[in-house]
Amino acid sequence: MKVLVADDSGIMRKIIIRSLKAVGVSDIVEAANGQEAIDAFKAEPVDLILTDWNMPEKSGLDVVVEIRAMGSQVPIIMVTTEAQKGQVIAAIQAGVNDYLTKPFEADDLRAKLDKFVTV
Amino acid sequence: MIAQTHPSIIELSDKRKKLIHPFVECTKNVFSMMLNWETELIGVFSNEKFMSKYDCSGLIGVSGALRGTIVVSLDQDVAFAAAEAFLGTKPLIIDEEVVDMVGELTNMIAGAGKDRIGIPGILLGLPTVIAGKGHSVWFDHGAHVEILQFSSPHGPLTVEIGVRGL
Repeated sequence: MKVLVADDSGIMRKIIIRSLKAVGVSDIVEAANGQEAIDAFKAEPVDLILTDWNMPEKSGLDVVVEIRAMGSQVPIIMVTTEAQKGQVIAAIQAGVNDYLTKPFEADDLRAKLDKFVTV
Repeated sequence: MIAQTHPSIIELSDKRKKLIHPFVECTKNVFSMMLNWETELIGVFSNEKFMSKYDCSGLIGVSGALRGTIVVSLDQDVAFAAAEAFLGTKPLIIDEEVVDMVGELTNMIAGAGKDRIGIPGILLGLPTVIAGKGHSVWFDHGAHVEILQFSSPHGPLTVEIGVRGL
């Protein structure tokens, strides 16, 4: 299973990657902004995407919209500080499969991964 | 006004409560959930235009329904201990990873705090980090400023909210 992790914070990517490795995922692609995430996905499709919302270049929401416009149904988990109801609805309408708000506890992230990770 | 008041005895106006309570709650949550640290509010300053900062400060611009800046400032020991908790190794200097960590903590505190204020349409920019002893941050003239001082197991930190439009 290949997973794309997009977040402009290197620390946050490390936290997510640590959790991914804990559930047995080792094939991981990192992106530091939305455009890098889209480029990485175009270069090699993945089985799961975890993306931040607020990133330089392109936002996580832009990533979701563009990937869905390509016809891909890859599961996408939005991991973000944006927690207002309207934003969650906008993300789901754009095609996000699940939503995790920052800050989170390790168990919260693990529960989200358990829904989508198959190794 | 430069009076520091302990939060247990302070009588807050509704305007001040609107800013202080959300950011106290979310600061405690961020440090508790992400680092398993207990933080305690030890002081509140209001309407300070200028204050010395700790060694590392994360800044986020606020726009939309409110306009201004949110600053999270950490003592170096706090920043190093937090980076160690996140990364597993303790940094020796304020490096790229420490700066990134301070930016992300600022992002989480500001993001969670603005949602709890209860005013729709508040927008946040991306965090910027300033490092160095003795640096200061000046808020916009006319901004309403609240400076929240916390203790943590590894030293002090402040969360500062300076906004117009409240």
